[in-house]
Amino acid sequence: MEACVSAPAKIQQVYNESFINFFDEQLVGHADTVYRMAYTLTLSLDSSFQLVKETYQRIVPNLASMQNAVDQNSLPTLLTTLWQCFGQLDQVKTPEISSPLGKILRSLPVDARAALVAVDVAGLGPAEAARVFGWSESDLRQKLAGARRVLLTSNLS
Amino acid sequence: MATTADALSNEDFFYSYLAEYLDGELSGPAAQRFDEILKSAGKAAIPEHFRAMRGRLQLALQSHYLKEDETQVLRALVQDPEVKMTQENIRIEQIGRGEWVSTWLRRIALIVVLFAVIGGLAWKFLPRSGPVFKPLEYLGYEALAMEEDTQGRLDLPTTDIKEIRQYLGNYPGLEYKPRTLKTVPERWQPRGVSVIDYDVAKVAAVVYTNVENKEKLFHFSFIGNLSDLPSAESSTMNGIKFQTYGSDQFNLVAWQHGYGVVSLLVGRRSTAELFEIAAQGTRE
Repeated sequence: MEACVSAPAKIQQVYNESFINFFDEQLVGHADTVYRMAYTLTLSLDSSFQLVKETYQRIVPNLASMQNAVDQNSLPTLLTTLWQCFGQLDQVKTPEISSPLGKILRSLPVDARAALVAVDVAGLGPAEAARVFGWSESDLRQKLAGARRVLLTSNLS
Repeated sequence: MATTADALSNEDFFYSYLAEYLDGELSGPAAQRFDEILKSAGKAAIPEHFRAMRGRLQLALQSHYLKEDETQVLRALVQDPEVKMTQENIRIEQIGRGEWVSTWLRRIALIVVLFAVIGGLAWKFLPRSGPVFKPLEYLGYEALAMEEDTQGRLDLPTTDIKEIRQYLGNYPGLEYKPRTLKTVPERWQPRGVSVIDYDVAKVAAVVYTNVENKEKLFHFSFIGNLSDLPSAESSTMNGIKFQTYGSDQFNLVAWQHGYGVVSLLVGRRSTAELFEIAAQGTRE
């Protein structure tokens, strides 16, 4: 797993308009979904944006290969990178959580809530989600099943 | 899928395939297995409950999204915000300039169309001023030309005034009845007749020759009124007004020779003598 780089002070390369448009439409267009996954993992609003930012910083150098893969959906790549960056984070200090959503997520192991949000919120298929996290599909389904059981017994309204 | 499903306990299988079941994507052994688990106690309502809770989960997470300034931070990873702003300003300026140009082009086109319509209407409805027939100028020149080449410019060279009247009476396309002098002094003999077509007017021209010195006298008649001619010195005889004109070459006498027809007698004689010839030739 590669380490996430820290934010460069300035743009290190001048990108052409095609790159900029691709980045804007295909990557920034998924930013809210990535942010929700980041929150799911960290349970901290402060850490979430930092994680998202590091994810995109890590994606930028690979923009050309992503752009050339015409049929590829960028979201799994973004979530894979996010997952890798999350793995490199120091212990995240989770603030006091009062919302029903936060309480449900906190009650779940991080793998389970990652599987739940990847499949039931981000809309990835279980096989695709398994590839994102580097698990087998049966592993992902076990974690997903556990997370759904908790969700079904929760009082989320 | 079979391998994956086989590796799962009934509980994990049931809960992890809920979405596929709701979407109708389960088939074969997996569908059969799911149905068997579903029939077990307390499971029948779970798929619909899952559908509702999944919706609530999605709704709850939708309240988490990036703020605009955070999104701008991401965009700034590939494009300097100042450069972007400059480019947008240039683009806005170009669009503004394009708008300005197209607005003026539309206005100019509208004005052109408007003028074209007005011009078209004016061309269609306003009376058109065609070429103007200037008898004194044209016929003075004509007399000069006929004097130099009488034979060549006469349609019908003849000394018989009856033939001349007959020729004019039968001339096709004349919109008026050309006049001839009823009598002229004996020394003036008819020489021939022509009809001069100026497009805007047809002029009957009868040429007389002085038998003593071959001097020429020209009697023109054409559609018009004496009042159309420039005002000039005039004399009245037998109720007819004669206006006299002079030039370097000729003297001219004009009179109303019947309704809507003007006669012009042109020659090198004095205006007084021309007036006498004209008055004599017009006498009833």
